[in-house]
Amino acid sequence: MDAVKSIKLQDKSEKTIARKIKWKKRLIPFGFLSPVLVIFSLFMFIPVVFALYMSFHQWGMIGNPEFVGIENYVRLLQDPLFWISVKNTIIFSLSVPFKVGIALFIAVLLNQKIKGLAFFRAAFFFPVVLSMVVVGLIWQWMFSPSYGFVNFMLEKLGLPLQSMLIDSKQAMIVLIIVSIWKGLGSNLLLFLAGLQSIPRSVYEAAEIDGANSWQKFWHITVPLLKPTTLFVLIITLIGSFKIFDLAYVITGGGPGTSTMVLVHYIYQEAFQRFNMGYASAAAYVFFIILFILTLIQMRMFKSDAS
Amino acid sequence: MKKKSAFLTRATLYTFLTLGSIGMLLPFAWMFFSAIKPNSEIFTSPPTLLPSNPNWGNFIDAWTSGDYTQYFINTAVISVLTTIITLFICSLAGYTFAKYEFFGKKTLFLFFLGTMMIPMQVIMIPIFLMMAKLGLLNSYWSVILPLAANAYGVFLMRQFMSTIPTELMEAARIDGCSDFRIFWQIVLPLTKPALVTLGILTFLGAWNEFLWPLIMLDSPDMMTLQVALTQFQGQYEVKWNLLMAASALSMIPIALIFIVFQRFLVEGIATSGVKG
Repeated sequence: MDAVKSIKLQDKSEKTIARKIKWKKRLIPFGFLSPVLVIFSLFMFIPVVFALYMSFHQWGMIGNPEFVGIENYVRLLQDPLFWISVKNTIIFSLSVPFKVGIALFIAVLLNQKIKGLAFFRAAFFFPVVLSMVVVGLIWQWMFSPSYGFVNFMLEKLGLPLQSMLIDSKQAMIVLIIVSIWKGLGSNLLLFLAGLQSIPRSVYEAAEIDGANSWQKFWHITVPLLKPTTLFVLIITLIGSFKIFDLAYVITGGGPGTSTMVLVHYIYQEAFQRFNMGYASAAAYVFFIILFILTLIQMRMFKSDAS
Repeated sequence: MKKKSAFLTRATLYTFLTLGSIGMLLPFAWMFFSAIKPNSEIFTSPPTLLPSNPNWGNFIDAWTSGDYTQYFINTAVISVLTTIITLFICSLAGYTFAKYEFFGKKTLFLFFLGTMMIPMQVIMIPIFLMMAKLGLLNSYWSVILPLAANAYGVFLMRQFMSTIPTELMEAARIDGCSDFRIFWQIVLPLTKPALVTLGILTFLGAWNEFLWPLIMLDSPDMMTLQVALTQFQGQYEVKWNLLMAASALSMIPIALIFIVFQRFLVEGIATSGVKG
């Protein structure tokens, strides 16, 4: 009797141990994921939902939030400054094809058998790792109308001096030039990686058929590099929509509102005027624009893969 | 004839590349020369190219014109902690996604990837309000924690961890090794290249970060270098020689990392592109 009982008991306890081990096994992955889950919940998932909620409320720093429906969005679409910031962001983004073109051109040059490759690559790549603030400061000083390097050179070359940063028409051009300089290196690397994945044999076959360098570029490099080019185009475009630091440091949005960009507008509404709800609405419109760009990117890559 | 045209092509090639790299490096030269110009020379119009009378003391003056030692410490603490936390949680998550089967794995992973689409400008306002409520504004954590939510890191580590043979872990399990020890002592040492790449990218990102510290840290003793430099710029009469000297000093850690780890940086950017 006792023996049977103890066997049963033992059996039972073994079962519970087995079950415990099974449960433990199931829980381990979640235990390992718990730090990222906590951090992502607090700093991604919850805020992104909360921002949407806020965008339907009037929300200052003091007092209680008040539900206003879509009023924030209506007000936003009626605010001329919002449209100016959209326009400026788009103007800035028009430089994207140009940026990508330059990067491709230099990548092709660097993909030859050349001496000093390491030096050239480092020279083009170094600005990528610098902060936007330092880059902004250096270039603001480069473009200083009376004491800067650019006008110094223009004078040496006998060209007319430019007012640049204090001219509302030229300030945006300055921002574009600086962002080309800053971002060239990373696009260049993406293109170099793409170029190196094109098999040498394709070029050799073309050489046997008597193709010259230009034909090789146009009929081999360009088509085979299409996926890379699309990718670079879209990430550069998304990046250019996010421009803030450079404009904030170099022009501060000015002169007037001539370089006021979308993120600057959001920043100003949220952290200088403390219209948290209204700024959230603006941020969501910004989010939707970027989301559409990302969807386009995904579609392009799907159709490209098939 | 053919030789001559080949020579011409090469000459054009080198000319282009040389001019291009001069263009890339010129601003640094201008920064450096401006940094050592004495006050009297910084505001001469037309400007001089080389300082006639280099003033090396500018670097010291720039550093002591604000509490730069404190800014440097703040930036270093934020960057180092962000890097350590990101590496730890992303590699643990990457390992789990690569080597475990569990309920909701695919959906969860897609959720993480999806956050790459969320621009920080959307979440910065709720996070700011949350930090204000928790009394964490003007603390290092208010910048570190949002930066640690790095989906790219989870993705990169998962990709790398899946290349590690599962047999290795099974052998260790038979020997009675706990799951965490397997991760910590067997898997992690094998992922060093990915850890270095992610670590450098995270460190640089945190060092150069501007908008988060601008929002979260407004007390003077908490400022990071990037924010401090813009404050310096906001003063009435900008002493450009000192500002350029301070900028140059703030770049030193970045330049060192660039020199030592260039290979990893290049690979990091190239793979992040290829994988999309």
